[in-house]
Amino acid sequence: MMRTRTPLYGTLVLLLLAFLAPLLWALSGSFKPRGDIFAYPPRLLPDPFTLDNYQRLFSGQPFWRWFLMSTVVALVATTVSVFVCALAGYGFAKYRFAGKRLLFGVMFSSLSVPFAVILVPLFVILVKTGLGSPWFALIVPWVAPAFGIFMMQQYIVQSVPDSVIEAARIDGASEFGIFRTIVLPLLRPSLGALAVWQFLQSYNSFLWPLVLVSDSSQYTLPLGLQTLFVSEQRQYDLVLAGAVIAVVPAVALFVVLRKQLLEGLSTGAVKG
Amino acid sequence: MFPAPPTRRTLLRGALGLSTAAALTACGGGSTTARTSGDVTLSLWTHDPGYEDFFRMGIPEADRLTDFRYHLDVTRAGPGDLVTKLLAQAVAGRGTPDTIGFEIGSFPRMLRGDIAPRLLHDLTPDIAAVPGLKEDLLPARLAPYSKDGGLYALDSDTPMVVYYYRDDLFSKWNLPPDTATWEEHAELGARVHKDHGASLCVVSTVGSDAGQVVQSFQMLLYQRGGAFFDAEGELVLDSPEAEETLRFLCEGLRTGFVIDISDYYGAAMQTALKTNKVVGLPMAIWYKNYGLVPNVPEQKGRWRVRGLPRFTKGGGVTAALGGTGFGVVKDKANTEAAVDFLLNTWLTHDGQVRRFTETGYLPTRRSVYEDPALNATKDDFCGGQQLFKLYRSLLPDVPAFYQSPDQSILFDVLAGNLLRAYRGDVSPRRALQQTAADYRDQAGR
Repeated sequence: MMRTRTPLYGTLVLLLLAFLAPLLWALSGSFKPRGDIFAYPPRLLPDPFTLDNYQRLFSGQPFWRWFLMSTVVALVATTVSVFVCALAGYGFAKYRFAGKRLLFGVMFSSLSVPFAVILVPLFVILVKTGLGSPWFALIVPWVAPAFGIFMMQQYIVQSVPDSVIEAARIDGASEFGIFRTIVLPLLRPSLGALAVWQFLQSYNSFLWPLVLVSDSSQYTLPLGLQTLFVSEQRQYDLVLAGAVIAVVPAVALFVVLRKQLLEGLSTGAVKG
Repeated sequence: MFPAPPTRRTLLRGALGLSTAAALTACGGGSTTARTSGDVTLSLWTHDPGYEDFFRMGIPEADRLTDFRYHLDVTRAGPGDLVTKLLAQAVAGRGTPDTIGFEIGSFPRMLRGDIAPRLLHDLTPDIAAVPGLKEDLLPARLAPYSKDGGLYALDSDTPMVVYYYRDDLFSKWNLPPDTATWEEHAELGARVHKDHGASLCVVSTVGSDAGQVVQSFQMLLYQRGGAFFDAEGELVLDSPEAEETLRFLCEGLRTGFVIDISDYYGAAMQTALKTNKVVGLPMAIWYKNYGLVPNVPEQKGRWRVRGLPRFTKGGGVTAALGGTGFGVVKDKANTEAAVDFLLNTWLTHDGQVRRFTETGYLPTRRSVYEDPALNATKDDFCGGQQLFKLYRSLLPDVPAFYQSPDQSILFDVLAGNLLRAYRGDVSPRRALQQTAADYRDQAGR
């Protein structure tokens, strides 16, 4: 008997629409006059269509600076953290050293500590050591995330055979050379997944920039957009326009790393 | 009988309070040379761009009245975020502002332990030094920012609660706009709902914002003569007035006199206003500028404001809701300059007049209510109504307003129990009893 897949596809389409609906609503609202955003009955297509929200977003506040700050900080944090996580994960996965289990246990248990708990101590340390400048301090909390190190360690244990490393050593490769030329290429799928996750963590971060930055021209996007929403004057029109633009880097990164991300996420899902 | 051992929560809170106090102590005491004149750039933190505009426009007046020439460096963030940021910066020992605006609901965090006295300048002697000022300031607006005889912020407003109604629809539907009591108004509201599908009162049910859920009940409770806390910060919620008020709202929800809206300021309310589902509501005076004007600008000229109907069993014709107190961080080079700036912009007669004309916030000095220019002001959004005269007539009824360091705990537990009562899951009496029990359990007092 032939089994139709229509119900499955129907369900998937409905789920897709449910997930896309908020984004579509935001996109539509960003092109509507303020008074029409919550008009009843709701209209998906803007009528009248206006670019006024975007014009006011760019002219009324340093939006481009917020955008640039967020994007640059997130890209740098992602690049550095992916490298650090891979290196640390490799160390935990393939090297034997005194206190390894203890160190890994401490690192792993730090996953259960909310960031808010370490916020003030971290801030004090950076200030007291003279490293509290926004550009540096905005990146620091993201460069060695425990989750990333754990993820890399797990992936390396599963996917990088000891024999390959031993063979490279016999061929005279240096330890860092082995990591750079053999291990890193094998990690590409999981690095993509980690990069997307790490980018979003840094890009969406709110609490840390809030504490760290006081100059509004150095705000990150979440912080800047929130200033449009404070007090009782909730400027939905500007916030929606800003949110639509804010989505772009994350979507672009996903498109670029889509292949690696899907491979990374599906690793281990199929029996080898 | 032995006293009950402290709960884990109490111990944690104690440890947190001690560590914060210790950290604040450690960061204090740094030597700063106080500026007494000349150019000074004040860092100002606020959640509201309206305040930024106000203070910038006040610079010439402050320059004229003081020995300083002021410049402002403004940082904006959410009301609760500002307090978080302030405490973190204070512990780190750098980056604190000179002046900061505390939204009234966020200020209780400063009342915990001795955070306020350690971190903020006590404005009491500065006010006492200006002849007649202390007697002129409304005590009801000093109480929320006071602790142990010290005053740590100056309020932005006398935020009376009034009744907003759609004059055009009231006329069209032949509704009397001047019902004397809430009970009559509720009967009228039930008929309006039956005939037109509209409501004359609103409660907020936004689950993620406990403060907003509590506001709906708080306004009428304070009007009725009840309160959350007394002057010592002790809980006085479980009272006959509170039960009566909550029962009134719950019955209103059954008849349709009251409508539940998920957000006073957001989509749901805007839709309800636009579709004439809400044609009247009790709210603070600032709601005109922050709720109605931005959400339904097309309804300009159709709204009117009046005092609240009275409760038959007692109470006044207004309450208080909201406000923002501006405080000064102590022991900084700019502390004196910041105090002078506040006194010479925020508290002068002209400054208080300007505050109303520019931001819609009512004066906190009694004498300013006699200002002829303010009394002649007409409001276009409310059809040319002379609102200030109305507010002046309500002034004697503004109730005192006390806060507790544990207010956030009360709001969390009260919001949940209010929603249960609104849904009919528990009786009003039970909801209040449960709130008091939950609060005492969690706050440890």
